[in-house]
Amino acid sequence: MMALALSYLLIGAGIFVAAVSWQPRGLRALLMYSFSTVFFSAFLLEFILPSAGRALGFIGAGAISLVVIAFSRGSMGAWTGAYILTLMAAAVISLWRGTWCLFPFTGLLFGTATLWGVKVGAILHWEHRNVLALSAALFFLSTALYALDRPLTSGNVFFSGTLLGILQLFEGAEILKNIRNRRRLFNRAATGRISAGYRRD
Amino acid sequence: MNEYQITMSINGVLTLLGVAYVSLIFRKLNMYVTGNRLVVAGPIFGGFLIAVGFLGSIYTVEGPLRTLLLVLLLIGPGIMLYPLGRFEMLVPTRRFILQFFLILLTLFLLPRFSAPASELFHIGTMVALLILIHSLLTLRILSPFLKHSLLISSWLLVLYSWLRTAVSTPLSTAVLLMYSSVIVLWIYSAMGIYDYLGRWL
Repeated sequence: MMALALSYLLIGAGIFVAAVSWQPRGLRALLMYSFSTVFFSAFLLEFILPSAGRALGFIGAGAISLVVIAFSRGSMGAWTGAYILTLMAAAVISLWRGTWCLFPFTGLLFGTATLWGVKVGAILHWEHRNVLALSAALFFLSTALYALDRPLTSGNVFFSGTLLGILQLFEGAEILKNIRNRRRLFNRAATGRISAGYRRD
Repeated sequence: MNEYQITMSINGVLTLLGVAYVSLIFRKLNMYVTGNRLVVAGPIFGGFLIAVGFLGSIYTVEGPLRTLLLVLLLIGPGIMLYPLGRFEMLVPTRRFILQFFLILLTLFLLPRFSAPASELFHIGTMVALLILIHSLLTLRILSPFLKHSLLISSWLLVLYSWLRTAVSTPLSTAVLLMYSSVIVLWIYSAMGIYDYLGRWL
């Protein structure tokens, strides 16, 4: 499905750009670069071997959910329960029904993750909570449409939800880049002033 | 309903949401700039007429009702454009004029469609969407990121207007995704601008 492949490409690119701008170290860097690699691989596999691409996409969504649970340190309450229940249901049903149900569960996991983003919106000042809410609604709609046997529309809606969510990451990356540039300019100006003053003395 | 109709209906609902956000932005600015209610009511009413007319062009409606819906599609962009132009909220830049004529030039593609009349009004809808995108581009408070999002959206719309003949080919998914991207990028920018205005004003 082209919509799904492009969605994975967007997610991979979004995480990669965020990692390059934030320049995290240690475990965070490892996680971000691994996730972007997983989604880039899912994008390629979606064209060659769709079932494997979908499985990889689901693994990526599940891993992101686990990271969200870990970083929330139990502060999420009902959301933690929702994540764990969705993951468990996905694991059980996919063992029973095969790869058919992996895509709707990917949408469900992303939808829940985005809703969690709405809940913690105050942490990141560039986040637009209305955008995240719409993105979550589109992810849930995509899952519902897939269940109603409308795979093409479901993929299209999933892509729209992903694009809305990823645009937040891109905007955040640009804001961080601007902050870093301003800080560098400020530091350079401050150093220049100090050295100029030193020469005058 | 086939999948194309469902996808376009969802995009139509999203377009209405975008129109509502554009109106909310002008409502906020209206208190400080023009003080005229037409700037707010015009885009909402015009957007509503376009949405109703557009639904008529997607679904097979026959007889006088079809004529009425097509007339609504004609009047809608005019009602939307008039207050924006009157209160200098739509500056005809070179880019806007170029994109406007590039979309109008797709009139030459009309003989390729089975229903040229509805396609003619489809062009009217795209012109209205272009006007809405450019009405946001004229705002000076735009961050570079939102400005780029709107620019990409406007050029994708021009590209879509030329490629929409490919809807019944294997490229159809890509063409539909392109249209969804136009809507999502525009809505994201509108929501972002509204969010920023909410923090400042």
